[in-house]
Amino acid sequence: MFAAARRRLFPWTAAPSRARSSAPIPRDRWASATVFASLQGVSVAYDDGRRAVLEDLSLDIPRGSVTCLVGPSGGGKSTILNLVAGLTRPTRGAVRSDVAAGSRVGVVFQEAGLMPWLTLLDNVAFPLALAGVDRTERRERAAEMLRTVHLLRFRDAFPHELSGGMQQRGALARALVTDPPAILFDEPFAALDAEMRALLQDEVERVFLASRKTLLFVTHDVSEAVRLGDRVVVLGARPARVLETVHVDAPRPRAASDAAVLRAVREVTAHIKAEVDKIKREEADDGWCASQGDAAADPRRHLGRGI
Amino acid sequence: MFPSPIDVGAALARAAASGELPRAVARTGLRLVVGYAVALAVGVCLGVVLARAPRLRRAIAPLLHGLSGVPSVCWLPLSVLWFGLSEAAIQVVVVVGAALPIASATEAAVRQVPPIVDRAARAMGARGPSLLFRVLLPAAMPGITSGARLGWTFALRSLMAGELLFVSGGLGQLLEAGRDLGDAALVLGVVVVIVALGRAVETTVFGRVDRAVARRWGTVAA
Ligand SMILES: Nc1ncnc2c1ncn2[C@@H]1O[C@H](COP(=O)(O)OP(=O)(O)OP(=O)(O)O)[C@@H](O)[C@H]1O
Ligand SMILES: [Mg+2]
Repeated sequence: MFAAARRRLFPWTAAPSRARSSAPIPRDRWASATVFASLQGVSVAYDDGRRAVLEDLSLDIPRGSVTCLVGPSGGGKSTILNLVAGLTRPTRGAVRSDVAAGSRVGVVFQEAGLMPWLTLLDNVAFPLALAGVDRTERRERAAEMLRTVHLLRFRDAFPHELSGGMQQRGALARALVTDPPAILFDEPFAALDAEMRALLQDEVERVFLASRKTLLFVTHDVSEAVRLGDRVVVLGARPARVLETVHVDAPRPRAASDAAVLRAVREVTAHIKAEVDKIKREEADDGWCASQGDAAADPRRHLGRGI
Repeated sequence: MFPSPIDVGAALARAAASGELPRAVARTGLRLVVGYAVALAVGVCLGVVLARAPRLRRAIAPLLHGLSGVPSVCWLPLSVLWFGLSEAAIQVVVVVGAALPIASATEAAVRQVPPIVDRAARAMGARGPSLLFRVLLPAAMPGITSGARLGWTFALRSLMAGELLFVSGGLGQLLEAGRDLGDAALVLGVVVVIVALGRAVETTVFGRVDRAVARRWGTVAA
């Protein structure tokens, strides 16, 4: 009876069978040597199914490599990331992943999501506290991580005393501190200046090279996607689907001037441009652009933010 | 019939010298502390349960709203029937009076925890008790403390009403005694003491808590 009450009050304390789908996957059955997460025919709809964000999307995230997702704003990238992290359930289809099978994962969300009542240091140490690491050790490890993201001086500041970009770097440190086998990034560097972004891209690549983690990296920035990704998945909008997967075969650590990098940037940009043009044509047909003027009137209807 | 401040001061001095006033303050203070502590525990637990159990909330929220409109001293006759003329009977009134506002403030605060905080915590593996104690309650703290402050004033009001009706020591009874003696100065003096007691706790305890919460949580201090 107590267990039943607990399930009702705190449903997520039950085994994470989050992929409540037509074919539920028992948590111990998922084991793939090459694939970290697999979305199969996944649909997600909000408002009781009236608004489909994803429809019949299939996508594999390979293990031990960097997958970048680029696509239009409002196209469903964060939704995909939440599915992989096991934080959203698909309305249809199956999500299988190491996370659903109980493996740890670090997540850097689009909004930093630091705990407002904890200092930066305690925020970064928070996942270690949950894991039961003792206080001295977790503070040491958190401080080390803060040094990596160049925020050690702000260790005692509360999140509301930090800028948006600083909070994002704090969230990055928090995701890295437990050294999880997989990390999901949702536009982590969008709010940063070019220099800091380049520094942290180097850091992400260094972390990857050091332990060959599985990384899923959502970004608007094509050069960032190509800089980091082994594969760049280009998504189309409404409903989201995979337009193209571009493989980047440049040696690491990468230089922006590498010929393979430049070629991949051109390729990805061309795919995105084709999609933007298509959306523009459709909107013109709707009469939307004519009546609304600038597409900025409703950014959700348009590819935005740097693409 | 309206006593001067000097009369009031003199009456208070007499009551203090006879030991009546200190005894009454001690008795009322003890009842407040005990009743309020129970109300805080009950209110916060009830609020969390209501916030996280939508079906239960839909079932009992209308009832609770209805009850919170009833002055808690209305429960005194029933609690006297149950507990007799005991401390427990008067505590029931204090607890009912203070727990409801604390519960509804806690419920609102827990439901308003930013979804990103909840999601980030779950992504880091916070579940069950660790989610509750390390995330939901701290995240809801600004709302819970303002509910606690409201609960304090409700506790004081309920207790005064209870003590007036249910004669067994405390400041309420001193008020009654003043009326029986036709001593308006004493009655007014006791009112002053009640106001001072309420304000003292408000400013020392809750003022400090509010400032601490504002500093940590980045909310605006009262
Ligand atoms: N909780 C929600 N309720 C209703 N609709 C939602 C919700 N979350 C997302 N959506 C809708 O789902 C669509 C996809 O959102 P999502 O956040 O996945 O996009 P995105 O690709 O990450 O966009 P951006 O690049 O701007 O971050 C949007 O049209 C949004 O309106
Ligand atoms: Mg997003």
